[in-house]
This record gives sequence, C-alpha cells and structure tokens, in this order.
Amino acid sequence: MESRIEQLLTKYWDGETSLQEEEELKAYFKANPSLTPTGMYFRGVNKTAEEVSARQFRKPGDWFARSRWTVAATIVIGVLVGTMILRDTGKKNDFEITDPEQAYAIAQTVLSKMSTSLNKGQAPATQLKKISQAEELIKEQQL
Amino acid sequence: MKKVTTLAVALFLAIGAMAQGEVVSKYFDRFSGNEDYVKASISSKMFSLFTELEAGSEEEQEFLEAISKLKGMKVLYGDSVANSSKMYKEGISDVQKAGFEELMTVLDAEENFHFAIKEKSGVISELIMVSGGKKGFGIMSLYGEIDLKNISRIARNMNVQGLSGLDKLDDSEN
Repeated sequence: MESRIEQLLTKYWDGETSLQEEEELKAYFKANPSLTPTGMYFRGVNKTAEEVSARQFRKPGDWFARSRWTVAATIVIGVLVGTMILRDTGKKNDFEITDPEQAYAIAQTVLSKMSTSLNKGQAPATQLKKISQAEELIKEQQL
Repeated sequence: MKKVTTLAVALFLAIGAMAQGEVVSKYFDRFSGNEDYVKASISSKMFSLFTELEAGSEEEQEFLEAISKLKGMKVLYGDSVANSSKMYKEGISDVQKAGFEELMTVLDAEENFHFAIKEKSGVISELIMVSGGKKGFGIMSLYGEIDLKNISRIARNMNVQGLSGLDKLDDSEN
C-alpha cells in the first residue's frame, strides 16, 4: 500500500495523476493523517475541498426563467399603476379648484355644513349622556 | 420574487391612495355634463397651501388646525334635483358598497344626512356625508387624517349657513 501511495505521489507531483488517483490520495491521507509536509498538504487540500463542496450552484436556466417573470410582472404592474395615475389625474383636472381663495371658501362652506350636520346627530347623544349623569347623581344623593 | 412582492405591495398602496374620494369621483363622471350639480375637488396641494396661511382670528386659527391634516375634498351638490330622495338612498348604497362603515344617520325635517367613515387602526382616513332633502342631494368626501372632534368644532366657531356658498362657484364657472 505504502509503495502504491509513493508511486501515486511521484505521479501527483509530476502532474500525471488522474482524478480517480487524486481521490485515492486524498482518501488515504484523510484516513491516515500525518504531520509530514505531504500529510499537511493533503490535509489542506481535503479541508479546501470540504469548504468548496458546501457551495451551491444554481442552473442559469432557472435564474433566467425567474428573471423573465419578474420583468413581466414589473411591466404589468407599471402599466396598471400608470393607467390609474393618468385616469385619476384626468378626473382631478375636471373639477379641481385652482384658485386658492375660491378653494378656501369652498372648504369653509363644506366643512361648516358637515360640522353642523355632525353636531345635529351628536346632540341627542349628548342629551342622553346628560340625563344619564343626572340619574347617577340622584342615585348617589339618595344613598 | 422579493421584487414582485415589493411591487405588488406598492401597487396596492397606490390603489389605496388613489381610491380616496373615489365614490364622489364616480358621481363626477355620472353628472359631468349636468349643470344641476355643482362639483368641486380640492387637492392635497391646495390643502397644504392653506396650512401656510396666517390666521386672522381665533376662529380661523381653529379652522386651519382642523383642516391641517386633510389631504383632499370632493363635493357634488345640487339644490333642485327632481328625484332627490331616490338619489339619497342610492348614495347611501354606493357608500356602503365601497366598504364604508356607517357613522350616523341624522333624520331632519328639512334634510337627512348619512355619515360614513373608512377607518384603519383607529385613524379615520375618509369621511363621507350623503345629504338628501325635498329637492337637494349632495355627496361630499373628506380624506386625509380626520379628527371628528375638530370637524365638529368648526360649526360652533363659524357662521356659514348651508351650502349657499357653493352657488357662487357655479356662477363663476359659467
């Protein structure tokens, strides 16, 4: 075995080993760790090989297919958003008040109207609250 | 995949932002050529201009504070509408279909009001009022960050009666 490894090592340093022979050498030094320069060298080689094997490669085809879908989705979304923005802008321009004074007057009028109407709705609730508070007060005094 | 998700989220946000005032916009489209209705839209840019105004009185200061967080307003109003009560019911139905939550309905001898809101995480993002009287019909929407207390306070400070002020807009437009 030793002579076989020595032969393989001679071939290895001459750069004449096959992949299978290199695997054989790596396996031998993994199973028989040694502190000789050759042993330390193969220890490094095995360690590097382990690190490299942890890497994952993706098929370029998958990435390309996924990228195509992303581009298609982006275009569709872009067109939808663009259409909606243009449609909305068109609507705004139809009745949009551009004179600040006029806009302010309208805002005041509309908000006052909304406010008055809101208060009309809240008035009965406020009265009920007052009645309920009065009832509680009477109960407290009776106790 | 992350990009697609991000874009989808952006799309939904954009749709959400643009959907504000959408109910009234549909009425704008429907009655665009009808002169019985006054239509007005005030943009967020205009509201941001208002916040830069200097208040002349305490009442005005309170009004400016009340509108400081508003992003827009859309109004459609007609005071001589033939089928106003039908329009009022239709308006309420449209508001409900658009996913608004009823806030209150005020039944008054002269005019009825229906208030509805869109609320998320305790913040009201849109307030719609549908009004219907014997002859009048109106639908108006406020959007942005709405504080009902502030809106309610406006009427106590200001002396603006009804929507007669909008008639002036009609005259100036023609």
